Amino acid sequence: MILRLATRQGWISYRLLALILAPVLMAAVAGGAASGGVFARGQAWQFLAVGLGVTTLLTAVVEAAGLSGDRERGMLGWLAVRAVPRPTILTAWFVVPLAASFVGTASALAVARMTLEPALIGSLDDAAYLATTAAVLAAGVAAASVGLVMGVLMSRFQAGLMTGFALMLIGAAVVAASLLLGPGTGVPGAGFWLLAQATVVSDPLPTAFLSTGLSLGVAAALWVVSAAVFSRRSL
Amino acid sequence: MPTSTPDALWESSALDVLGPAAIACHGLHASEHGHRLLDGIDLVIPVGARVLLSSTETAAPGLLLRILAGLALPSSGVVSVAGVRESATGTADWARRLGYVGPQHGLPVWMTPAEVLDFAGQLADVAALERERLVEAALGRYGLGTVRDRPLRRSGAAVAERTALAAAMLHEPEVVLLDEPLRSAEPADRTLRLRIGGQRRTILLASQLPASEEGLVDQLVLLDAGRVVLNAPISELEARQLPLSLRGLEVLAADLGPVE
Repeated sequence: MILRLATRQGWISYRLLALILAPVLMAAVAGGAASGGVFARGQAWQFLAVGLGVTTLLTAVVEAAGLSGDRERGMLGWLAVRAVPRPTILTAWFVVPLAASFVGTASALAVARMTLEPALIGSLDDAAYLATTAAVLAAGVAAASVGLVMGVLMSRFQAGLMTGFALMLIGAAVVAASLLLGPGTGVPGAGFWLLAQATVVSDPLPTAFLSTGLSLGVAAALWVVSAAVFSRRSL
Repeated sequence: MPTSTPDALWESSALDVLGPAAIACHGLHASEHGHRLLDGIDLVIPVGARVLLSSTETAAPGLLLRILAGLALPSSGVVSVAGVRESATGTADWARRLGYVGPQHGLPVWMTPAEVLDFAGQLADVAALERERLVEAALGRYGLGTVRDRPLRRSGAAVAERTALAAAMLHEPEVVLLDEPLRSAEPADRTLRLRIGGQRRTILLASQLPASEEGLVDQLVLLDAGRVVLNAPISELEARQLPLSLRGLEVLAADLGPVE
């Protein structure tokens, strides 16, 4: 019941539509540019990796601003005073944008696999591509969890702004770590790096698995922090 | 619909002796934005009372009501509503006991009044047939029949506020907490909607405009510097021919002396 409410709230405000369409649009542009000869071999994958990084950031900002905005408008309080458990409210407002982002990102990676596949011969096989996809999705969960913490703590505008700022800093740190230590570091977000290096990377499975695990670990820790703060937050 | 006070007990003459409290606060302290608004509130409101809650500090009554509704936590102190300590009960029990309307209606504005009321009924675990009956009754009682299927965003603030009140009252709560309700309504319509019946029902109405609550309350509570400085029946005000205003309450508080 609460999940359905959160879904309708997100759908009517076009948040969810944006989260589904944005990654697919990125993949379509990458595929179109590659087939039109605009990008050289491998550049399309780099474009896609950056594009999905941006849409992941967008998901986190939507998480933060959506949660904070609905809290400020009194909607979450309206539910809480009807004895809907706070963890249930938090879960619904976390899961719904994330699910939309999952659908969009997974669709985008499926489209990319079909349209850009010739550029992958000799690098990412099916299993490695699935593992890379999992790493990208898991990084999305971690990023959305950052948005969740900000949304619980701050006002709508601040939460959106700080989430964007924090994730850009984290993204820069991931790029720096990958450049300095190589793609085998497996930090959260390394999935994007593997995607950007899709035509040249070798044996990406360990990196993808490590990155997925670390991302989900970070997300779990941030979820616990958010739930603890939200349980005492004035609604 | 059952209440937390069993009928047998309610009919008993022992009730007059026991004088059960609908709302009880003991040693309540709370701050907002670093400003201490409640500084040791001790307040007991008996079952069936209609109470006006005012304060020399605008934000204090709203914070007290949010604490009673479980939306904010005190820094210290104990609160019980309808004999149940906050958060000590399950979903259905707590929702049945309490109705709250805040200064923001908090409703999804894409919903229609009929959808909001049905959803509120579902959250209160009211069975489908009974819910349908209650929704129809509430739409009529709160003048929402003509806009029942129009989204709230297209009906204006007054309709949204009436819908919020109707949703809060749908499940016949024992304790009703109203924080500056129906401020967009015409005065006569507002008084009509806020004349809430029910012998067992306790109403706590926070207002910074006491004069607008004429005829709705029978007990007065005034907070000053975070403490209760007045807790008296409205007859005390009338006996001294004081106006129902913030100034009138302050004069009465000074006249009656400290609250025990």
